[in-house]
Amino acid sequence: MKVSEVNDLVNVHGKHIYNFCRQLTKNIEEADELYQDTFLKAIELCDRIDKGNNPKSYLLSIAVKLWKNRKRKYAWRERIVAMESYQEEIVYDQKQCDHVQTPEDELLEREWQEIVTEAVGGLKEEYRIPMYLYYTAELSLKEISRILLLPVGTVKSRLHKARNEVKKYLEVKGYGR
Amino acid sequence: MEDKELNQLLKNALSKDFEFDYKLNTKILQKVRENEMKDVRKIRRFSIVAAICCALFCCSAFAAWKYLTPKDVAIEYGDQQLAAAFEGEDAILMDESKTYDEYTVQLLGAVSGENLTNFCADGQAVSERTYAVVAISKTDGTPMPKTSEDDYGKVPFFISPLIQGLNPQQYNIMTMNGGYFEIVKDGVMYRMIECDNIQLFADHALYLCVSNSSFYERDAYQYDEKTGNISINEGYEGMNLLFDFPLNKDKANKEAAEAYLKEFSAAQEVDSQEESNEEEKTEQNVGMNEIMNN
Repeated sequence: MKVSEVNDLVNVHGKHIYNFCRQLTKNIEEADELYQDTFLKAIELCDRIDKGNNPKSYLLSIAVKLWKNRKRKYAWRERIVAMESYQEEIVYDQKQCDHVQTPEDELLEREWQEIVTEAVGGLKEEYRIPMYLYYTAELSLKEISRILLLPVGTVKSRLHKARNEVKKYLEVKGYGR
Repeated sequence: MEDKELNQLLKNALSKDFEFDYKLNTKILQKVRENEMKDVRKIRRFSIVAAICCALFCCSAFAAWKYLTPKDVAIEYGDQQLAAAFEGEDAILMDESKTYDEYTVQLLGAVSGENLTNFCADGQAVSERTYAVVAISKTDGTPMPKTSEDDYGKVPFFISPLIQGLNPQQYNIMTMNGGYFEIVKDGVMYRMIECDNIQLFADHALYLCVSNSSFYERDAYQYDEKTGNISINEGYEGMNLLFDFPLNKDKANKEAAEAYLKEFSAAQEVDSQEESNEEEKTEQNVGMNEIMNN
């Protein structure tokens, strides 16, 4: 693969892949490493990248595989991390908050987003990864099923269960009261 | 809570953009450039090397199953606790080989940390250690000499971890309380080395050097005092292999590493003091003998 082709790949998909790596690893250094390794692995396997047919999905599948391998190999970290330090690093994008009217609303919205992040971060990996692929990487159910080598129905049911868990967590925390 | 509302909340929470260091992309592109350069060189040399490659691939395929695992070597050593450690989460299995002349050296794995062994040294339990297992075989497939044979040990191998930023002449297996255990099985020599826990330094580049010498061979490697990087001396005639020794960076511990270095310097000072005392004693004895002879 030529440098110019890699450059295009990185420019077009880099941001999405990086956001996914950050959500998955919950750690800057590990995310940086996973991000680079994902592209390097992709370059190594360049023949399999079909540029016309969603390379983003292929890159994400590499990231998931590398992450699972690492977790198994090094037991990098437990699912539950020190969320406080993680949350401090989160930079929120203004445009994501569609209905922010007042600073109080904005603050409240942020707090609930933090709680949602915490809730998803605490899910088992089999539920967590589909959530990130769906909401962070914005992939379709079909694409997720291809990456995780699972039937679409299973992906759907995992997402459903994961949402329910998050919902319960939010309700316990007093959402909507 | 409505599903739509939950969906929106999840979307907002999980689709945030993280700050991104664009140097990461530069590094990726740099790597691709390096690979391109290698490819050019490969094409030029391809016709000459093709036959050799075929032979090596055959050897590699054979190598994949012929080696013992680090755990097997630890069992041969008689240390079940260490064998279990090589199967544990902290163990790092490697599969990298390098060839020099008639020898192929394969790095098989490593483990570092506390209480890896139940063996004792000087009556005290050995606590923080690094272990690594290396296989050495003849590239042409002929067997390495058995430990019972006269030829065993005639060709020395010096295998030592090295640390970026620390002069390898001062910091190698000999000075870091190291040792090794060796067996020859099915024509392959396995060496399990051990030394003080160097995983503390895993935030630096770590290396494993293999040379045909009994001690650290200063001419075989180059130490860049500015960057702390260690590299092979291209002009050196003899084996001077250098592996990356990728221990778990998460286990690096700056404070413990600094404490270790302090302790190391203090021990070195004591040793050099003892040595100079010994020299003085010898000189005095020589003087006495001269007087007595006269």
